[in-house]
Order: sequence, then C-alpha cells, then structure tokens
Amino acid sequence: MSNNALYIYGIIRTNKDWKEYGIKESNVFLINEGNFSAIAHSCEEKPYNSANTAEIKDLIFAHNRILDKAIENFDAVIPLSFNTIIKTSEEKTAEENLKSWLKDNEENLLGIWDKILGKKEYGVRIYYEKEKLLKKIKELHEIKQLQQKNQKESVGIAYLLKGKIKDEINKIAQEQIFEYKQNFFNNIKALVSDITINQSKILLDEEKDLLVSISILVNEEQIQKVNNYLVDSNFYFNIAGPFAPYSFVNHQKSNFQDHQKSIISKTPKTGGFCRDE
Amino acid sequence: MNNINKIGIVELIDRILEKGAILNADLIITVAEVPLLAANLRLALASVETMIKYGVMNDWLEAIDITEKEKLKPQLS
Repeated sequence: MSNNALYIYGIIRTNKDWKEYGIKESNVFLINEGNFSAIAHSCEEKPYNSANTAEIKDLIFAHNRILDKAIENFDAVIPLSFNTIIKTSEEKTAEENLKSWLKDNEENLLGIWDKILGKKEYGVRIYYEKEKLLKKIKELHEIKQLQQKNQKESVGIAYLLKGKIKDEINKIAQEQIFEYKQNFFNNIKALVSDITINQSKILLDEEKDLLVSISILVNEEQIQKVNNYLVDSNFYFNIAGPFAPYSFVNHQKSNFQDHQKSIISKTPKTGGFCRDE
Repeated sequence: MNNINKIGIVELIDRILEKGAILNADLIITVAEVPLLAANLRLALASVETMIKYGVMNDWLEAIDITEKEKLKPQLS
C-alpha cells in the first residue's frame, strides 16, 4: 500500500519551512496554503492502531510531541485529534484536498489563531467532600424537623418517612452541587480567555466526588489568577497542563446552562448518593 | 504512581482522542477502527497503577510535560 494519504497533526500560521520526526519516526513537513500550513507526514490510507499498550502510548506521545514542538516554534498550534488522515479522492490528491480545505477555511482559521495565540489550555478538576456536604445538610432545620417527627411515628409511618428524608437530603445535595458548579464556572470564566466543561469518558476510582472538570484557555497571568482563586475557594482541586488548545478550536458553548443541558442529555442517570439514612 | 499523574494522563488522552479542530468528513479516512484504540487506552488507564508497577509508562510520564498543582483545604466550613 502506498503512502498517498496525509496524517495531519495540526495547523500553524506560517509559510516557512519546518521539519521534525513524528509518529513512527516519519518525516514531518509543512504543507502551505495562504497564511497557514498543515503539519503533516505521508502515510497509508488507514488509521494507526495497535493491540499493544506500549505501542499505543508511543503513537499518542509522538502526536503530542509534535504539537508541543510547534508551540515552541510558532507560539501556537491549532491541534487536530489523533488519527486525522486526509485521503485522496477521485479527482484530487490528499495534498490538493488539504490545500483546498486550508483555503476554504482560512477566515475561520484566522479567527481561531487570534484567539489561541500566546495562550495554553489547562484542565481543572474540582472536587467536593461528600461526607461534609451530607453532614451540613443533615444540620439544616427542615431535615432536623423531619427526623424529629420520624422518631414519634409508628414503625410503618417511620419507614415511609425515612425514605422521604433520604429523598429530601438527596434533592438538597443535588441543588447544592449544581450551585457549586455554576459558581465555579462563572467565577473562573471571569478570569480566563475561554472555558468549557469536559465530559471525560474516564473516571478514576478516586474521583467519585468530582464536582466539575473544565478546560480553560489562559495566558501566564490568567493561570495564576485561577490558581489563586481556587486556593481561596477551600475546595480540593487539580490543575493539569499546559496542553495544546484542543478544547478551544471548535465552536464553544458560552454559558453554564448550555453546558449543563449538553452534559445532562449525555450522562446516564445515577442513583442518589445518600444511600442509607 | 500517584493520582496526580493519572489525572494528567487522562486529561491528555481525552484531548488527543476526542478534541481538536474538525476537518470535513469527506476529506478524512473512515476511522471505524479507532474506537478500538481508544478502548485499549482506556483499559490501560484503568490499570495504570499495574503498568507503573512494572515500569511500562515511567519513561512516558517523565517525558510528557504535564505541570500539575493541587491544594487541599477544608471545605464547607
């Protein structure tokens, strides 16, 4: 099979030449059209894959390394996801297809470039402490009243009321969590160039009390402000990065409600987290 | 391997596999096989501690530039 396709790592704003070694030591080069160049290597018309975990991590790392190098050299990169491979068509070569795409999308690319230039993406995960939250809710007057009432009831009614108390605690907890998320989103949004809520498909065991996972687009000054804000928030948090701005090169939802609707529609429902009241 | 490094890997892989600029579908190859790769990676992450135990990912962790910060403070005071 011939190498007539093009693996694309990302797009940069330059018409200079640049060479690197990429996935499987392939020769990486630039294909220019107008203001932009695609970072590419020649490959077969099939995606990279492997059943071997070590090989997979090498592929992923090589993709990421090229993007890091591009940022070092050109101050920004519009990243493409792993395994973006441009194919030939009946009328055009892969290079001609790529150049047509760069030409047709130049205005859009200019807008994205202006937005990401000099900025980096970080992932922020904020956690809540479930036990502390539940303890706080149980101290609420309305819950205490229900519990006191329950103690005076017969066994049958007490059983039913116990379920009602549990439902009420869960409801208040969900409302509180929503409020925390909304506040974090809106307060961090005011400190950064752009923000989006992540929908990670991987949830680590330690992360069952994850409040929200977001991506932020920031410069050096902004990331410090976000860090200071989170320190002051008294919540446990983690900041990972910097990354190429993967989350900010497509159309973004601009407010918390839009994000929330999108996440709710895609997230399977789980049971209440107050299991035994 | 601590939780911090695991989060860094998850954050990186989520981005590389799921995000980035989108090209017209008619220009790019069909990536029907790619979910297999993603599934393999996610399975790998699920057992990442075992991999670290046997040194599988140590070099990668050292190579990737993931700066992470954490802060633990009491909440809901």
